[in-house]
Amino acid sequence: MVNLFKGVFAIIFDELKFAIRRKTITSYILFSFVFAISLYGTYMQEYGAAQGEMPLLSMFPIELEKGVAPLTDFAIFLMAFFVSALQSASSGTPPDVVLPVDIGITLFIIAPILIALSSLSKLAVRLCASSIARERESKTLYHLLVSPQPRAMAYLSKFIGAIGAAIPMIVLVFAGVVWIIGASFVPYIEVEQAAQLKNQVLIASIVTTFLFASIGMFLSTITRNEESAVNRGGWILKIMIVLTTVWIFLPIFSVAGESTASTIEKITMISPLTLDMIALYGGEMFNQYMLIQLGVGLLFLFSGMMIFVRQDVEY
Amino acid sequence: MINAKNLTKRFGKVDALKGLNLHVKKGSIQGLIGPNGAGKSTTIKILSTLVIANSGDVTINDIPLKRGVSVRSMIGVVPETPRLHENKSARSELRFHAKLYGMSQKEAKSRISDLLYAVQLEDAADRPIRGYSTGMKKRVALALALLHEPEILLLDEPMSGLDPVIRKQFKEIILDLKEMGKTILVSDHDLYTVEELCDSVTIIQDGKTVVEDTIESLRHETGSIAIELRVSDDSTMDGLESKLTSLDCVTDVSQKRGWVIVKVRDSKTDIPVVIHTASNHTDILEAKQTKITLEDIFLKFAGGHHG
Repeated sequence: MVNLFKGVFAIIFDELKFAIRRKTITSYILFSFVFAISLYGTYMQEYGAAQGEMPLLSMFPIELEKGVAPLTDFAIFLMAFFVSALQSASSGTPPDVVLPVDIGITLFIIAPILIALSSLSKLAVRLCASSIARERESKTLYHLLVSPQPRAMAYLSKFIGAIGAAIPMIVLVFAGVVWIIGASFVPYIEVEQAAQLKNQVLIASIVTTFLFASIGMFLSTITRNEESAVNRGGWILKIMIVLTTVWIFLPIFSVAGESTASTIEKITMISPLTLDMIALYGGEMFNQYMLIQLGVGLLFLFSGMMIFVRQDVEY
Repeated sequence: MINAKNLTKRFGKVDALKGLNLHVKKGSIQGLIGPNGAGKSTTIKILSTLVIANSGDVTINDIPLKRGVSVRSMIGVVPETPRLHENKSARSELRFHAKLYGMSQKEAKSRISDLLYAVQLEDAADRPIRGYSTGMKKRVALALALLHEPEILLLDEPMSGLDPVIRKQFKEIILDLKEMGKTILVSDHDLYTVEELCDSVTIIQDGKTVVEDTIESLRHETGSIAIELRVSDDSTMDGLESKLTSLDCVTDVSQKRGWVIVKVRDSKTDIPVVIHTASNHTDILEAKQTKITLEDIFLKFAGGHHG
């Protein structure tokens, strides 16, 4: 009986080596730059434990309704952020508006975490989309498939190898999260809440990476060449980012007119961001959302694997 | 050793195989020949488990092909145009494959050294493959196929793109492998190569097996011996052809560039009868005896569609 584990590790390390050599360096540089700026921007805001109506919020005839209308809260958060940022930019001094911690946490989710998740998704989808399609295009895939490695095992090994290159990025994200929560929020939120926030960001990073890596593997299986597979992955990601951006701004319109508010609110409820925000009000919703992402990821991963196992391969 | 029954394979609207049968005996070298598009490469790919047949049964060493992992441990494949990881060296490519086959580091190191020596790539073993010639790449592919000491070798056009010196080396290696008891299936366009290497052949056409037997049996069926006759008067050639066709000992008569070619089975008894009959019909200027080639056999069974 052939020692399968040696083969599995060989494929994983081969794919990982390729991923590190060709695909990740630019992504990591860009990610570090943008993530650091966004983290610093969030850090520079001044947060306080004030509750209820704040001086700033009195400019708007809307009250925070924590846990009741998160979308309305979100619109207020955004406006508060823009006002404080404008104030800072026009006066050249740090903003003298003390934002509620809730706003800080939301901004933290909107800026650095969304940037981190987008970067992770992009890296994962690119690495995985190229893994099988690249070998099919260069016609070297047959080497792997005439070896005694079961096809399903070869597929999963390539997946693990490709996704492995995203692990340092997840670690960086987590390190940033630990820092910003400790530096900006910990004095004002409970220890359990801070720990939950860190865990949620870590889980979201891992699950989002898994989801996009699985989509990448699926595309890699059904596409004949590397460029098409990576481009398709890129398009899926772009569409997701556009939709997320639209979802981010939809809540702002929800306060504009009463008649459309309920419709928009229903639409925005399916937004990943909305759900992430709601997760701040209750961990159960977050867990459900993560489970849905995990399920979709598994569906893509195993669909790709089933196709790959039954696929004809040329040499 | 290899048994394939009623294999069919469809690619989109094209039927590549339409009920192909194949039987390869243990320890033999069998040729798989046929015109372009006959289904030779598809057959090799199915046996390699790279392509999945739509229907039919295949067993290798009595193990169904569906049990891919067990079967793949027994086979080595050399494709027509071997594609390798160009940035790697031959040695690192072999090392990676040794891991796929679960070989220990020590075992792999000694096996790789032996193989690099056998395929004469020791000097270039640590250079990137992108600088290799076609012949060198083919030798790497052969080393990869032999790495795990498989019982069966599937060679798809092993001689294509090779210069005469490398071809000779390849032939010798293949014959050595036969001596070692390996079972080898060779798909090749070069019928002279197949004739030199193989004990038996399977001729396929339009995705079906036309005939399968030892070359000797097929030669006997086609006519083991060919006699080429040159006549003084070309106008008598048609009459001579019909006269000779009527003889029981003659299996085939044809004309080629002023020669009448007569195929018979037995040189001792049949040649004198042919010469006597021909001499009675017309003046014979020249007569020579040649052996029936695989090309003759192929043309007889594949109907002259050799691509």
